[in-house]
Amino acid sequence: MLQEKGAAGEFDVVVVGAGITGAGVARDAALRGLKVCLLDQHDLGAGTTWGSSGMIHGGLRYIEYDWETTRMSCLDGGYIKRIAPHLLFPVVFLLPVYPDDPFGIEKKETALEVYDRFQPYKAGRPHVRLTAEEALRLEPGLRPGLKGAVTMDEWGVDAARLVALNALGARESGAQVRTYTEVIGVVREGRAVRGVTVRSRLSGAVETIKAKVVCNAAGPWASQLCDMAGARLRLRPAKGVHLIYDRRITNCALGVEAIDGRDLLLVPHANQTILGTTDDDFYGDPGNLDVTDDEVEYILQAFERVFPSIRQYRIAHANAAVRPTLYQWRRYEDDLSREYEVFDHGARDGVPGLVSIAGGKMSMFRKMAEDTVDVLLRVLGRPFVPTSTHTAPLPGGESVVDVVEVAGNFSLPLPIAQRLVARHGARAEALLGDAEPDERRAVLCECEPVTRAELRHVVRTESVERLEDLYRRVRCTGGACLGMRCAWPAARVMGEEKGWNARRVAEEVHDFLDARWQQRPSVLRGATAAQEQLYRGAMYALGEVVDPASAASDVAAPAATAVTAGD
Amino acid sequence: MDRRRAVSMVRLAGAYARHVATHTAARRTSRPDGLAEFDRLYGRDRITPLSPQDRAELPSHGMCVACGLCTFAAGRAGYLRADRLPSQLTRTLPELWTSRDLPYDDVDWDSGAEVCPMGVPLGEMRRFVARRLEQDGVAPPPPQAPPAVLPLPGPYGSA
Repeated sequence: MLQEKGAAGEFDVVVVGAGITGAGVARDAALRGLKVCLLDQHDLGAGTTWGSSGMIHGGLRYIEYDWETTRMSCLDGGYIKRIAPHLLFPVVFLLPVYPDDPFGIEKKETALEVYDRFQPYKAGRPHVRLTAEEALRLEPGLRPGLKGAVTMDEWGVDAARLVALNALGARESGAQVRTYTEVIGVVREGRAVRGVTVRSRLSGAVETIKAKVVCNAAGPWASQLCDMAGARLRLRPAKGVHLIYDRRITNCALGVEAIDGRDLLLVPHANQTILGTTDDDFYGDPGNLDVTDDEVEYILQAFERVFPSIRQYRIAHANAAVRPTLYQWRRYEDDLSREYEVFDHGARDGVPGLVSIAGGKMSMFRKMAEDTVDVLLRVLGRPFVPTSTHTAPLPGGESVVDVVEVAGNFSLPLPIAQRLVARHGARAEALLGDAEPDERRAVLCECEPVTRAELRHVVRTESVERLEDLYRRVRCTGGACLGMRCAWPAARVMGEEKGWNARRVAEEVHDFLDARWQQRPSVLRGATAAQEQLYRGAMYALGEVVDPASAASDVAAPAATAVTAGD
Repeated sequence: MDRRRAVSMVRLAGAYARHVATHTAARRTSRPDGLAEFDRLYGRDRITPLSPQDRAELPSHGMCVACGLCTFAAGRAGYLRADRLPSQLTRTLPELWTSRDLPYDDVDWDSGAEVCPMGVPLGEMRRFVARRLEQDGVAPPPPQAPPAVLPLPGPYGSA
């Protein structure tokens, strides 16, 4: 288990916030010998990271501002590719140029020629210039009339999995990881911060966790934690919305311009497509976000101009998240810097024992963590120890695995082996070796596919507490059925592992499907909306999804059923 | 404009001048085959051109809501169940090679399509898969060579 609850004593650092930044800080700090506890009020990577575009990019846009930043972004992309080779996949961008393009093809190609100099740092490939005819042969869905196109590539990454592997890596280096643990207060000694008071969102239990330093990596909630401690951290939070399709609708990513001139991306992302993002100032609760019809229309309208058939594709769902952008006045949202900053509140606000990290973006997480831990070591008065996160592999990144060999060794169908290796890398074979033979091929989630063996493994080892966490760990419930078929059997497996009774299993399924449904009204359209309502109603009527109120609390959950591959 | 941005803009202007001087002149005499170069770079990743027929068919592939009705009508052959074609196997072309060994001809795709409430054209999809496997090949993509370990960068500048 990720959790090692009950460990006594004081921590060197409590990291609040288990998004990619907090998980990265926890791993780096643990690797450098600090005693670390990582907390999150929700699941790993369920906040801002969950709403990211899932890219580890080299910073093409920084070419206009600072070439050194591009060089270092590319270097860091290379490190991440090296420590987690199984998790990153190529995303090839096709950038069409139309006559009204503000830059024109020669200037765009010039920028990419400059970018080509930095691409080798991250094992990227050089750009290609295409004529209009060639671009249309590559992607016939483009609106005709273009002058030409250029291509370049970046790395895509399963962002939630990247967080989980950082948290797992932290734990393997001695850290504690606690999810669904909300900070409700700060422990003080005079002005100094010496820990946090937390409440479990699962059990309601309240406890105090003492630490020499609290590292605030709470993203859009960071200001609230500073308020509790009497420190000050001003952010300019921005809401971003993405539309998610359950399959790749193009082979190449597309960059388009929105009505206000902002750049939007369509990214074929593993076996999904992500469109976005919006970027609007946000003043509400970052934990309670809606996706509006206007936001969906803003995105679709932008892509329709370049990819006219976009509305023919079925949107699976939408997600929204809030970026913890550093505070700046007199700037449009899109012009805000993605710079990050580490704040030592002892020196800044007279509140020793509190360090905050804010701003930045996912591509920079490793470097952000390194800089934060450098400050933590200084605040703790420890001798400097250099980071090793650029060479120490993340769990599963120890070596590159041959999918065909894994499939052969365990008599697995290739589609199962492929996705298993993509998620678990070099640890896929150990996972299979530890599993019951009949569970290795028993498919629970049809769309991904996820087997019962994989599900049990992540429930046991990756801090899965709620049914919805499975989507972030292994994409279970993320395909065409959106959980209608797999939520119930997956909850039963969780029930078996966690000793849940029938009522708890039913509550999990009920809560999950309700939450999933509430994310969808803005993207359900036409016959698909009618069909899915009918399907949902039928599932309830057939008793597949029971009302938790009618499920007995003293009856063990029935055993999970799964289709075995080849049966 | 801060100094770093000013420097970047000057360097970009220089790069643009070189680009125009070299490429504009070179393109008067010969033009490289862009698609061939694209294929050389990304063919191994199965990121390859779509045909107009592929593009026309793709929207209907995504209409599957995984109700499973087609499996009752079309039957199954080992791992290959009718509903897995739209809901799992065709979600990503770069991974289509993993379905190379499946007995596609042992499933009655047209019967499955007849009962589909969303009108997913399963027979057409099966032909799509055959076409793409023939075009892209069935060998797994070779692993990407990781970049060499390079020195740690210093602090980032403004972005």
